[in-house]
Amino acid sequence: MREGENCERMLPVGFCNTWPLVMMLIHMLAGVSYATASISILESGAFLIPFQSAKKSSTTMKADVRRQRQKRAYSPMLLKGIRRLAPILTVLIIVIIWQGIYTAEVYPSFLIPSPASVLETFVESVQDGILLYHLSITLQETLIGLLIGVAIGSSLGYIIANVPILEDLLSPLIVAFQSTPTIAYAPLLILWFGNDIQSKIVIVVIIVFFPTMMNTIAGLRAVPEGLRDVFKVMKATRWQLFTKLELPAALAVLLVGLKTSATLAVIGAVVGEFVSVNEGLGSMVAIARNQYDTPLVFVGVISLSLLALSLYTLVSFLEYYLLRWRRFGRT
Amino acid sequence: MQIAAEGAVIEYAMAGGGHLAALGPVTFIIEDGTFVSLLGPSGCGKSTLIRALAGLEKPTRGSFRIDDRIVTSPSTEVGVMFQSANLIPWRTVSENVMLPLELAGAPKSQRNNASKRILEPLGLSEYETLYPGQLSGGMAQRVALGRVLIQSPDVLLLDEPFGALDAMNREKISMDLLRIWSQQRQTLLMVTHDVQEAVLLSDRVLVMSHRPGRIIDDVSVDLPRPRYSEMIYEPAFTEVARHLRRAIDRA
Repeated sequence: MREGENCERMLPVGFCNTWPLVMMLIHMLAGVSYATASISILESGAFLIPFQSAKKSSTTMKADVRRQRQKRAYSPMLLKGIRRLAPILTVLIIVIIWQGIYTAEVYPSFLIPSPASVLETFVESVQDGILLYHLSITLQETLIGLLIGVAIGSSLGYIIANVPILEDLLSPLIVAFQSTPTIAYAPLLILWFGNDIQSKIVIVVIIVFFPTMMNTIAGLRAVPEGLRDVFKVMKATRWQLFTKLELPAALAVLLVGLKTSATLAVIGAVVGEFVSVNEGLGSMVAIARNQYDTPLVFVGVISLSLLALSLYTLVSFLEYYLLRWRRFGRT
Repeated sequence: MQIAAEGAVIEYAMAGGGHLAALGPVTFIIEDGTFVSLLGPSGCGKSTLIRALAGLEKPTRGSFRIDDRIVTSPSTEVGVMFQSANLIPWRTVSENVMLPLELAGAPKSQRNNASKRILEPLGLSEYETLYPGQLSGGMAQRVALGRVLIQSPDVLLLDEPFGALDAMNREKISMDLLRIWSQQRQTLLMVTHDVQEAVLLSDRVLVMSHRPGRIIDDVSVDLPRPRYSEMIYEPAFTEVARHLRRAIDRA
């Protein structure tokens, strides 16, 4: 372990470990989800727009913005092309800076390995199947947890929205549960549900359940009384009211929330994998860190952020398709 | 079908105890196939009356009747239109119009045909595939009217359906309503606060007092049918309108 020896000579003990780096990257991943959470709040406001009567001002505002944009756009085609390429450009710049730091030897290579070595490790881990194996485990935990969490969260949300007394009864418990950091009770869950994927699924379920429930309640409460009256005078059954009014109305808010939940689910799975190191990308990162295999840590972290990003994009597409009516504002 | 109220009173329990009298007592009979308007100052309980006849509110005392049925719940024989269009934002125009048939379990082909048949006379054929967010206020109310008409109700209860529209739109859509009504002759009760609109459309106008609303005047409009918009300049029209104006001012 050449790099380890280097480390102990040159740096304080805490830095030997790549742990801070990993934590930083995980926080970055979390940062993505917090950012998307704030976006989704804005969008859930947008969901209400068709229901509100005072919408003219917002449309004129949008028109103003559009006009301003058009004024600035001297060559729309070129601008559009640049805007498409912009994210790739950002990644490219980061890689160049990364390479620069490596070449200048600002930090030893076991802390910041070269982009090339990370790429090499990536190719290797794909070839020997390690990456895909761990990825599939994390994906399973995330998706199953997400599914169960959304199912429980939306059902409970529906019940609470219809039985207000339950909200008063359950809210202290739910809020307490929710404000406790998951990592604090994760060991307990692993003790109860074992080292395998079940315990991680439980963590994901707990993380996903709360925002889903809150979004369901918000969605149901946003259904205007006027629409309920329309269904009542048409003699709709309770079931019809649910399937044709409440469910689609809640779906609009739920899908926006699901984008946040999807990234939260990945975090939940990784937290579980860190606490009980076994299988999955989180465990792969933890093991690689213990072995000072920093390139593999990078591969794991980048794969995780790609996984979260893919899930986010998938839900965005689903939302784009299912909520296409929202794109038609007032003309 | 006949609409009737017999000593109907609606009171709401207030938070600090006690009751708020919203309506009545009101007693009236609206004969089958007549177009009756309900005029009155705002907050007099007109909407409450419509909601009660629709089966959305229950009278504290007395009763509301549609033919021989005491109203306790909504009925598909009664079509109700509210002040706002209340369209479902994720459904297109035709999907909104089809809703009552869908709830009644009608097959899809029948729903499609009915929707086409209803949308055409309302001038909405081209807008079938638009979403409510793309419609103007007037068009949205036309869709709401179509949604009520598609279930072929024998009774129409309209609660200030065109109140939020500008004068031009209002006149056009109310003349369309008049044309459709004269072909189908539903028993129609419409709440309005516009005297001219009430006189131009109705066979009879009921005037309500301030809260709690009671019927304080009952005026027959003996203008010949078919009615047309220029009628408002005729002496017979202005006479009725003036009478109603005075009745409202006394209310």
